Amino acid sequence: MQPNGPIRNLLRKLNNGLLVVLKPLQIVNNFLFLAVAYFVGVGISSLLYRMGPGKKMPASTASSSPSEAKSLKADASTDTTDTYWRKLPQVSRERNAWLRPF
Amino acid sequence: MRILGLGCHYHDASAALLIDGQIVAAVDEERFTRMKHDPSFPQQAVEYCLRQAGIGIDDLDAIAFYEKPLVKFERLLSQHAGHYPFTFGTFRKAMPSWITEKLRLRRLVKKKLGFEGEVFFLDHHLSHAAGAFYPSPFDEAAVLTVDGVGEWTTTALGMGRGTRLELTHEIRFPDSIGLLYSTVTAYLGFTVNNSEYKVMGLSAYGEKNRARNPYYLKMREVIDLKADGSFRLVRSYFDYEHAERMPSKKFCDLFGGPPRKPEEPVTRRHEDVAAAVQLVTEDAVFAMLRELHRITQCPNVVLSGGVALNSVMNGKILSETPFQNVWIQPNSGDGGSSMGAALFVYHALMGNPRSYRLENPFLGPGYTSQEVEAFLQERGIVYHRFPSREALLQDTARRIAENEIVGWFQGRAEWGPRALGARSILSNAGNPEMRDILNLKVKHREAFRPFAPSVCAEEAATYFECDTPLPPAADFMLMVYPVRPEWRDRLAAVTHVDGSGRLQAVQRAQHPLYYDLIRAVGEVTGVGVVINTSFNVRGEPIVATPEQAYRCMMGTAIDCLVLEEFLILRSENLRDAWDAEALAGD
Ligand SMILES: [Fe+2]
Repeated sequence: MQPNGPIRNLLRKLNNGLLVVLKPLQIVNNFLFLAVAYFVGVGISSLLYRMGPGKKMPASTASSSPSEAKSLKADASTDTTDTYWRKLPQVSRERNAWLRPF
Repeated sequence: MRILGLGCHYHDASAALLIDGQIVAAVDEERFTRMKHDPSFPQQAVEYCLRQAGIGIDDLDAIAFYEKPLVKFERLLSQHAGHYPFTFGTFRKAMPSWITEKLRLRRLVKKKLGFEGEVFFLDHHLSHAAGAFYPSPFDEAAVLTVDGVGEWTTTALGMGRGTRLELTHEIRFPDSIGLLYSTVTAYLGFTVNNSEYKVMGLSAYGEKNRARNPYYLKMREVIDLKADGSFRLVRSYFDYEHAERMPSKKFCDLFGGPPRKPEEPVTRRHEDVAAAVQLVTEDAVFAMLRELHRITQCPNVVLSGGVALNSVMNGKILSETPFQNVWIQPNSGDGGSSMGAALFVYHALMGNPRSYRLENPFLGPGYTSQEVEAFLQERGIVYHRFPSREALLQDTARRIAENEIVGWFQGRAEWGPRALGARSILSNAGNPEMRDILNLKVKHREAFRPFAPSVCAEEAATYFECDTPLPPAADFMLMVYPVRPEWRDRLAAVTHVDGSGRLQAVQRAQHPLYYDLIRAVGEVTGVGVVINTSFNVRGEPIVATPEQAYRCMMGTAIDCLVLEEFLILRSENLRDAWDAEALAGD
């Protein structure tokens, strides 16, 4: 395999050179892709949620103060007014539900 | 029936192998990759588990993953949308790993392990709950899980009966006791998801009287805590929903200044803030436990989640709540969830009866004498072989009594973050100076962090004001109790500033050699207690191989290494000496 040595060497160098040139391009591409995904995708979902009647993002259902928290308690499925516990439904899930990553 | 439990992609990746209802092997990935809390896919942990059991990947009946990745992804997207457009920075950093790995778990399992069978996906807190309930000594137990966050859940109450396990109540992100504790960890200049235990250690120096601690009421201001233990965090004090920093400016203002920089000295204010968050954590968790008892009327409780590693809190559970028995899994952070996932699939989904009790936490890799000797010879290390078990015990006990620092590498490695006498650095607890000697020569810890004592289980009450009977969680160094006042001076090296000690009660059935060593030390020194600290270079995971143990000894001032039946003296191998402190991390 010795005769292939210089060719393989050349190919490796070419490959390395391409990587050096393409890596910044790939970073730019990834950045652009993520920017579009964020500013369009996440942006639209955010807008839709905020425009929906009485809708709040799940992550922002809570308050900035305890008094505000009280007024928002109805958001949670509480069984008394003095608790933030959410009751979990006691339904047995079918076997397939455990095979799903969601 | 062979089920492999897996957990990864947040922190503390791990694998656990269940065969016919028994956990035969379990280990965190960090032990192999040498990266503390390594979250990456637990490839080497899986390989170890299969090797230990002598089976191949095709022999597995199923894999159980510890959470539902898409639900977690939904939460992340929701966070980003909720704080749009200010979250692009965190979005850009988080998404690539989600797109390439985390969302394609099934594919990843096939690619990395070559497994094509069924992969079950559990809920994060259900895995925690299963890891606490199924291996516990209880047929029935109330269950509390508390951590930073899983998919959405941060806290859950539930009940286990036989093979059935149900979570009945939850608190959701961003309301989280774990994240409150982590926020204070960050505020005090320590590393989040790593150094929460330092805050717990520091809290002993602060004012523990609620009325006198200047920050206790302020800490209660950032959390709206109900009498039943349910709570909400007041959002404006926290930035973690949309930024990489955790405390907000308002939080910093409330607690009297900007976050402490790691190199800055720890002041009285920091100690009081640490004490305040510890007190509030205890307020919340004890209220949750009282509510859980009211709902379940069960005398037994099991805990899991990162918050259940808070041993100061754990030591008070039986005195502060109506529960009569408590059990906590030794790897109760995310690492332990792989075990929980496998157990849940086996018992709850497949209906198999329970027969496993996690009494022996030594589930990690071990080495035979032949393997150890081959390593010693290959490396040209000067060593001695103890002629008998008795000689090993007597010589090691004498060395400890003479204030030598002993590296102790025996049997299979511990499951969980604590060194429990398999990968430990041992020294003389009866010498009040030993804390300073250990810190000077080996550990280089912050002065406020205490060292832990190991004591034979039957003698725990001689030295500690502990619950009787002693809860099994004390076997795993998960309970802090007051040292008896008459022993505090003599046991100064393991007595924290508030008079407490994080004891490990050693059962002879669990680790006979370690138990007998403690007894032998007691016979020489008159004090049946040894200092047990983890066998590692600062900032690294606990050593996993004879090579790492030897390297650790030669990089620190450990005097000798008792490696299975071999004795290696540092002084005889100085050509391999190096300075571990130069490379030490947090
Ligand atoms: Fe967790």
